[in-house]
Amino acid sequence: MQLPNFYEHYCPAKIIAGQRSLSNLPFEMGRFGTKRALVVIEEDIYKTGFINLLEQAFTDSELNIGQVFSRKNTRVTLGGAREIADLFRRSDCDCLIALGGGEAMDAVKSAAILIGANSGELPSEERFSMTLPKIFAVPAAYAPGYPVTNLVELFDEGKKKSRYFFSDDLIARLVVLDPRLTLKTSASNRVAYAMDALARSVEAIMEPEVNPIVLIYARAAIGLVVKNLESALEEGKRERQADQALANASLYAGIAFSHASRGLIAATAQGLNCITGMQTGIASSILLPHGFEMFSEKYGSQIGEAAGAFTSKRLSATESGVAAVRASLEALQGVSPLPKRLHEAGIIESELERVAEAVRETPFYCESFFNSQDVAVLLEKAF
Amino acid sequence: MNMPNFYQHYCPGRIIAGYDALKKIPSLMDRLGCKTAMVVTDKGVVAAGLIKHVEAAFEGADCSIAHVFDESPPDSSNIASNKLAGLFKGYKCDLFLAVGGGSALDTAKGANIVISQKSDDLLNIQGAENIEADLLPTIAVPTTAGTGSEVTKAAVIYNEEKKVKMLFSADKLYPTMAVLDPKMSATVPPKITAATGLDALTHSIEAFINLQKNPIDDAYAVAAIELIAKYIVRATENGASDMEARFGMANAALMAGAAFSNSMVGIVHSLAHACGAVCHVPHGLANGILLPWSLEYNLPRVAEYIGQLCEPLGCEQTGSDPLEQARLTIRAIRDLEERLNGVCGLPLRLKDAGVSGDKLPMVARVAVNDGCLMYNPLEVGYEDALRVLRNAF
Amino acid sequence: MLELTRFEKTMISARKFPVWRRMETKAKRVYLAMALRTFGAAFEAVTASSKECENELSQWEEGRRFALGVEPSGPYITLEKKGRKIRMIGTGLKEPVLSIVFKNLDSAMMVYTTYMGVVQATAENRAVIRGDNGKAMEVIRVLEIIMTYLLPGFILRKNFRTAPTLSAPQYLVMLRIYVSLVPSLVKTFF
Ligand SMILES: [Fe+2]
Repeated sequence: MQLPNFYEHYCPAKIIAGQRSLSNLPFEMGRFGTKRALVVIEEDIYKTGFINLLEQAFTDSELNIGQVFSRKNTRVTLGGAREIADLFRRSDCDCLIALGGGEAMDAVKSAAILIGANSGELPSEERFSMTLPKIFAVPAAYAPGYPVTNLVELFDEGKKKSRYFFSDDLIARLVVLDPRLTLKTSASNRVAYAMDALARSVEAIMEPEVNPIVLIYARAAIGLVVKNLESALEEGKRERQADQALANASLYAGIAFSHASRGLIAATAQGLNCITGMQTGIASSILLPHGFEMFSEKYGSQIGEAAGAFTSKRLSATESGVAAVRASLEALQGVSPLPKRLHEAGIIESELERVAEAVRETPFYCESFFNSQDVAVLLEKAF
Repeated sequence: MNMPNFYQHYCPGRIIAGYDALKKIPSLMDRLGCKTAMVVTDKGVVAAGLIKHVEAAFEGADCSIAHVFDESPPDSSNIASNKLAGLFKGYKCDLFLAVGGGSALDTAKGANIVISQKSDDLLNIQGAENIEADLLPTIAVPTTAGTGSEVTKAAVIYNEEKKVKMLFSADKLYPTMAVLDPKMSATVPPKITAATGLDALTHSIEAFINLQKNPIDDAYAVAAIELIAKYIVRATENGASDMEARFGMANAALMAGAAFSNSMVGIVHSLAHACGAVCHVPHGLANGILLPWSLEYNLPRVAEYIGQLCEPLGCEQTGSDPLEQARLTIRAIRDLEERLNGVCGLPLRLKDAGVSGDKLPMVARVAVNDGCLMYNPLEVGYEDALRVLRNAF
Repeated sequence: MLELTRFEKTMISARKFPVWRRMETKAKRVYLAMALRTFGAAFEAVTASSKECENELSQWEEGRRFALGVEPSGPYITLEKKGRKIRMIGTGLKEPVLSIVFKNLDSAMMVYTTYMGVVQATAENRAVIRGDNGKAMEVIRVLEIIMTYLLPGFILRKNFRTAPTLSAPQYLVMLRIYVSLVPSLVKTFF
């Protein structure tokens, strides 16, 4: 392991993962001194009844759920966040639980900012200094990174644009991965999320001076994906194990990626999602092998550091890490049921230009790191 | 790997590591909204001139050091903690800056508990394993690379009245920040460098094979083992000038600390704690001596896991038989320790570390009551403990 | 698609009703209270008959009181060392010096339905130990011995760290324990 001259790492999220971990949530929340939670949940998750499991966990506890807010699966807006913040105050809650996927998490984060500001208005600065109520996350879908980033995006209807905010208080203090909650994921979705985790982990370490803790999370995520992707497609008991492994991988990848939060594949996948509605997981899966080739020369040594996670056999001296990773990615693509090219996924060539434009608007785009030329090349290769 | 049935992972402190990381302390204090630091350390650290480095970092900053408390005893005690708490309030400080090994940090943690519970005596605090009040911020600056206490939630404080050790362990006790700067460990003598490094190695290996192993602690452990295999001999041999090796070891100790504060340690530590209590063998040294023998004890249950550590330790993976692989790992650890023995005369046997043979039964009896055994993959009874001790004697 | 089992689904929908949720919690509590009392009785019976326990207990100070139970609102039992055996002094927390408590009902259920051992549960952070760690280790060792006498070998092998094979004389002790459990149970429940 190569160490950089300087790094800083911060992740205050406590991971609670495994059987009946949801039952542990009230106890752990109690340690943060919180008493009454507002639960924000997405409508389709609400229908699955998972909220009942959460309520059950609070039945034998000194803490309670003040209110449950079920929201439509739509983009998070300022108006929507205000609604949650108002409910929070009216129902006298002191903390927030996001039960669901990325949107529930974003809604909770946005509401937390409004609650912290206590004025119903967003702060003018992207990076503000005020204390926010504690946030806890119960991902009910694989949630790469959402609970562990210090970033939130919300749409300001008044100003008609997306706004971004950063604060360490936006990171969930507890992340509960209960295997019961991710089971409803279909096999192809599971692969998509896993490939997304893989892409994020690979990009997290393609940095000039990678933080070794990030490398640790990335390696752990890669190892879990590589070893479990195939079993995740099977039926039966092993599948459950694999499912739990992939959910964990997804979270680790999020922790790794959130440290720099930039990457060609992540930005391009986000752009594809904005313009064509393509699921980012599928986009990541298609883009990963091509993106990897584009950067492998530049970051050969970093990739070598993680190569061990990709393969169980020891690399001989002549075999480069890059080659090993390439072989492993090919093998994964071989078992994956997802499309391998953008056109196979129904993207038409004329859309690519608009996608490239959208990529530049995403938070993961970073001019000093890659440019629009790279985006165009990647899209072309993957088409 | 198989997913564990259930696990937790928590490492909430901010990690700041670098060749001049000390310089960042004032800006870190600023981020925490703190102005006045109480430096907590011991006489050894002051004598080594390390506090000067810390003071230099404060030059021209708008926050300051109010006082340097250098009376942390080797085993931090309630008396030291109470005294520190009084001084802290007297100087109107708002942050603990613990510079030293585990005991300086423990003293600071003890004082922090006293202040946050609005008490003036640590002994008054009941049920302190569940500290719920918020503590004041603490920045930990380790001066040895081993304990990993800069990222752990425990504090061991000696009760001078009852003559017993009190264990505090609570999520609130994680230091707010850990600052790793290689020059802080540059003056550690070779033998202690080797022993503390082996402590870190033991933390990572035990975390990796314990009942509570999980994918993320495993990754922390493997990274730590890689760094230790690469740097421990260099840091021991040439510690005063090889800053790269010092930095590598500092990072390894932190990673190992993060791994074991969740996955915990096992038989090696329980035996080492007992050797410390009965025969005053330094912690790291005892761990180093007992590690290979204890791995042999655990071999029947966790050969597969032990075998997986072969590669991080830097030796060629050959066969596919897990048992053979595990033996290679143990061999690699013995080789490493023999090299350290060559470099600095690190003892390889308990009898060379000040343990007399007739004390072994006593050590075994103390060891089986050590809480660490709970996490060991195999159950350890008195006879088992004694057998391992005899082997290592 | 990977699916929840029918049982899991039924449980999830049943929990929609607050009445059910309260009932479920209540039922778990009642079950655990019973399990704990049985366990208390087993403590009495096993420590009275087993040589291993006697050895362990000889290290304990007289009158050591410890509790087992569930946070935050019970049930609990408190036990005490008296002479060469352990006696149950009742339900609830009766000023124990040491307690091993689960963080929630579900975790306790896993242990008291013999799905996993106390050691595994503590290692998994599902239980907290309040009090001296060394004493806790002593209690846990006795607990493990009791488990080996109480449970059939196949459960032990499947779910526990230790799976000792009992010798013929130990089986006799086991039989004696089962027999002596009856009066203990009668005593605790009636
Ligand atoms: Fe240690």
